[in-house]
Amino acid sequence: MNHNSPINHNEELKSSSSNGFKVALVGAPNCGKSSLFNALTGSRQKVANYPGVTVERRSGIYKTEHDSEITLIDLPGLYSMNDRSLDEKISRQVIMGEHETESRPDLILCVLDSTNIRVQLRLALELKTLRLPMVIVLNMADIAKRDKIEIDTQKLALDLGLKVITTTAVRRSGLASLRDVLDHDVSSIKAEKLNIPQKTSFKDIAELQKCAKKIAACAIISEGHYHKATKAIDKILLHPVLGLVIFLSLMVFMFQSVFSWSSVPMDIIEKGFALLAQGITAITPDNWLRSLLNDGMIAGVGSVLIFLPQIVILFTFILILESTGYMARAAFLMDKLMGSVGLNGRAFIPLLSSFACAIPGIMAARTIASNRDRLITIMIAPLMACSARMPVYTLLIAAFIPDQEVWGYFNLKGLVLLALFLTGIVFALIVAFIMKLTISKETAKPFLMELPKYQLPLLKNILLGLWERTKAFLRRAGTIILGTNVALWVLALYPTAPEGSSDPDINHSIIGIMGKAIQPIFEPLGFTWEICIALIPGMAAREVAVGALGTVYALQGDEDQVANSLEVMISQSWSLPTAFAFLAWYIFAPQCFATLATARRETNSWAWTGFMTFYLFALAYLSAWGVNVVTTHIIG
Amino acid sequence: MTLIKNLDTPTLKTLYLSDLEKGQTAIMTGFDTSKCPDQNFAKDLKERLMEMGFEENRRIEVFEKGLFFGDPIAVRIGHMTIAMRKADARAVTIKLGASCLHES
Ligand SMILES: Nc1nc2c(ncn2[C@@H]2O[C@H](COP(=O)(O)OP(=O)(O)OP(=O)(O)O)[C@@H](O)[C@H]2O)c(=O)[nH]1
Ligand SMILES: [Mg+2]
Repeated sequence: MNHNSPINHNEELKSSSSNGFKVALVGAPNCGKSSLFNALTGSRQKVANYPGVTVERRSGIYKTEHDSEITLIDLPGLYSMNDRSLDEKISRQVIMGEHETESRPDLILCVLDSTNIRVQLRLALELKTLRLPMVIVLNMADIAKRDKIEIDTQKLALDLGLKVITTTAVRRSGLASLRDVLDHDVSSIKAEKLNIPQKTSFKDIAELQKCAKKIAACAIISEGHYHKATKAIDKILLHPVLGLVIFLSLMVFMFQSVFSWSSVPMDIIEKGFALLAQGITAITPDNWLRSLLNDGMIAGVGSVLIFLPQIVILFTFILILESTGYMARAAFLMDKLMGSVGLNGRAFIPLLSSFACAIPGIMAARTIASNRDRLITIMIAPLMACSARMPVYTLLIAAFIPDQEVWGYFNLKGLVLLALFLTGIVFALIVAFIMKLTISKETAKPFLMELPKYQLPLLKNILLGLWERTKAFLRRAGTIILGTNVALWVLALYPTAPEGSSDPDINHSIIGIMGKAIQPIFEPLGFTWEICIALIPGMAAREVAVGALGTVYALQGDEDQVANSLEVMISQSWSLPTAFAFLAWYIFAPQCFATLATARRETNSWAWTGFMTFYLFALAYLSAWGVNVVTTHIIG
Repeated sequence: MTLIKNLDTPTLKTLYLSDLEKGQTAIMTGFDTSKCPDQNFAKDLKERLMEMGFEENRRIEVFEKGLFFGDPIAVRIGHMTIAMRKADARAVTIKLGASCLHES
């Protein structure tokens, strides 16, 4: 093609403004790529203050001031083009044009952390050898200023032979220079694309480093100082003893708060649903419609939605830990423990995220360089009690554990919840240890992790993160939970109880027959047929079982019992061994299709997915059985 | 600054980053991966260290050490704090001395 002809040129410009001029954000981990991406495209990619947050490529549309569209691609961070982990590999593939589905970008925005250009310039030089048009973005200008770091951008631009701009991703005004480039310079960049002279490619990293050092020495006017607050806080939070004590206290505090702060909003939601049910009773005749609305929908969905406050509190904690920079410190503190089962601190971050949900946790395992470690981390991620277990845990704890103070401050309910979480963690470590012994060893990978400077959490990011989570929870309540409960309700209609029988109809319905048919399997665990029925839809997602129990018990109850909450119903009809066995079952059982599907995708192996499903069910069954037997024995 | 004992002795023993006490600062002199268990690991470790800013003549401070056997360690180099294992820190050679307080 002859790109010098003006006609061709214009055509190309047009096509560039209408379809796919593609700009990729590339840079070291945690330099603010996703923050820039969100600010420019209005997306809501996860942003947090630790390296390795983004593990996938994401694209979004930036609208220029002339209303044309530019495709922006957010990529996982990487330290060099010599990728070690899967997330880095994705970035390298996209940049090199080797990615299966993403074509090579037309422009690279090379994002550097202004406070660390001394090191990060090396990556910029490496990228420059790729002969792609590139603009250097010095992000975190606000922090550089705070730490008295001064950079001569003109000098830098001259030495690199590239355009250099500064940004502050977290301030609206901090993006002006970048918008300016995207609005005005893109067409000229497109035009000069082929005129970039072939660069001598660097042979090795030492050479690049030398060159980067020279350029940095010229461009840095003032070195500034290391963030004083980070230094001071780390003296405490990384302290070998104090740091661990604080970490454990934080965990205990988190679980205590989940209980103590949620009771008021939970009461309000419960009362709201009770009022709604009363209202429906008042305006509908006593027929199938009332039962469908009250027993099928409100009893089912309401009994799950009640747990929204707890999930919100748990997520708030996790989001704050993630956005302050504490996450990487926790990984540091936990490295030795993880090391004792053959993993390293790096694996701790995916595991901690799994407390919110195992799916992002399994995805985050991509940042682990060692294949074996990554596989083990994926296999044990479902043992971290995700938020979907919260409804089941709290429901049973509320029904069976007295509201008692322990040693003055602690609440017994919170402690039991903590114990459930800890059991999952302990078993995760055991499983990891066994897997480490059995899976063949490969070359070890070094554990090197950057501990970012502390930041105050951005309220906007926390609220957005919470909202995304809440939306997902509500969407599930509105779709799968509502759907299964209505289905249960229908199946519970026929056949009805025979004449003269005092049983509720449901006991003789299809549901009752099915429940009683599978109950023998779960008999040794002490599960009733109602529980067995709830477990069937509960295989799709854990909290669905709670909704199903809500409907089953609502249908069994007399009119005057309907007002009773699920908690009361369960505390009256389950024995203590049954309740404990059910809790034990829930610690392990892999009742989440989405998690299994993610594990299948990430391991790319049915065998490993099968192994995960099998070992988790086996553990669930055995431990529930054990708990049932032991508890029965103890209480006589 | 407390000096490590055998510094005064004439035998010039190589010092490693893993030898530093908590709070000590030193100047990096290079890499020595000869003690690494295998060559692939050694190469990978050295490259990754370089990518994270480990470079000759830079000032390194061991900022914190873990509770058990002083492992892992948190190292401050320039504007970065890096968590690493003590075993891996054995690949970094250093020298002590107040004369080198300036970062090159
Ligand atoms: N003060 C300040 N903070 C910023 C700026 N840009 C990003 N941050 C913060 O830096 C942290 C990392 O930002 P991200 O956007 O997640 O970084 P990333 O480059 O996408 O990180 P990875 O996905 O891990 O590669 C977050 O806590 C952001 O809020 C900035 O310009 N100024
Ligand atoms: Mg990101």
